[in-house]
Amino acid sequence: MLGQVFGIFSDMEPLDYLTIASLRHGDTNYDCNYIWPFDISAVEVVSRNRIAVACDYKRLVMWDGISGTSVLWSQTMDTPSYLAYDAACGLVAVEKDGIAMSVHSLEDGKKISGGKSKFKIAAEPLSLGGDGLLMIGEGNAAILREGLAQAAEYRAAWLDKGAMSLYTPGFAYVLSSGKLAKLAIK
Amino acid sequence: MYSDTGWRACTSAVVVAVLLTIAVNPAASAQGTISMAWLKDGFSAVQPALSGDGGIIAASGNKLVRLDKEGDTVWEWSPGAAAISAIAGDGSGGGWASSGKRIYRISQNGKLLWTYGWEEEITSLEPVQDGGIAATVEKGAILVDRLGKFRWLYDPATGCDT
Repeated sequence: MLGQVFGIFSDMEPLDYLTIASLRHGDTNYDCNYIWPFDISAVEVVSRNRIAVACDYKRLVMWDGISGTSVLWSQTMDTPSYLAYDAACGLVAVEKDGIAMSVHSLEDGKKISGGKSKFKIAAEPLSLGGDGLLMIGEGNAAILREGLAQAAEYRAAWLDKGAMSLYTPGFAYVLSSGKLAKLAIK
Repeated sequence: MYSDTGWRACTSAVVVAVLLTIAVNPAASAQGTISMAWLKDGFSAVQPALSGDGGIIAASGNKLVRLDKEGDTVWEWSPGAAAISAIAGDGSGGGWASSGKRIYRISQNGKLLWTYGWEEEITSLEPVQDGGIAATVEKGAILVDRLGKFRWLYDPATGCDT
């Protein structure tokens, strides 16, 4: 799964495309046409056979990475701004306001629980390897664990919208506002 | 007056109290911390890559910089005047970088191993298991093998071209 490709060619410009390309041959035996022609806003690879996709119009779907004309489930919801998965938190959708969050069942997509962030989430959430999610906003970062409970918070002016992050055991690297930081996570 | 026995008893009582708190209130065990290990300035808004040894490879303008886990510079490499647009790590201290229409393979010592040129701008890089590198380009995706040889282009408009 390489990610999202937008506006692939002219006569399909408004459409997004969900596919898995064979690294050996470059062909695409595994296309998912089920959600054509809807705009994809977020993709989260839960596992090899569980790929969560948020797309217009107001849907969250789970694709098995193989089926061409079906998905495992589809749930109607407002299109989230971010999708994230971590074993501690489950499949989490961050709503457009960056505050409201919902946890969805991997089995059927139904909302299990919800919560509210203490700040507006403004960057892709980072999975902490099964130990929670690192959420970043303008001036804030926080660890969310089971039940979306906030386990820790960190404040720094350089944390900003669109911050990029990486996880390595015990630490998170965060790049934002021209600064690169290594944060110790416990 | 200082009493070692008393101090031990006090310490034991505190440990027991903490353990009891965690047992009674599981949420207490979910508490965590975030603290700064180090902070460096002057980096570009390009997704960095892990170096494989706890460190990181990041872009700073037209430079590719590998930092170790303590934040010290291991090597720097530059493709020239053009800014770096994407980075991927090989897990062994080396990696790939793109700048404009070129992909550069960098060794774990920060030396250029090969350069591959494409007809369009490279927008992202993703390492694959056999040592190759996949790149997204304007029309789709390409795969370049571990020696810097073209393997295929996937163009959704026309399919696969090898």
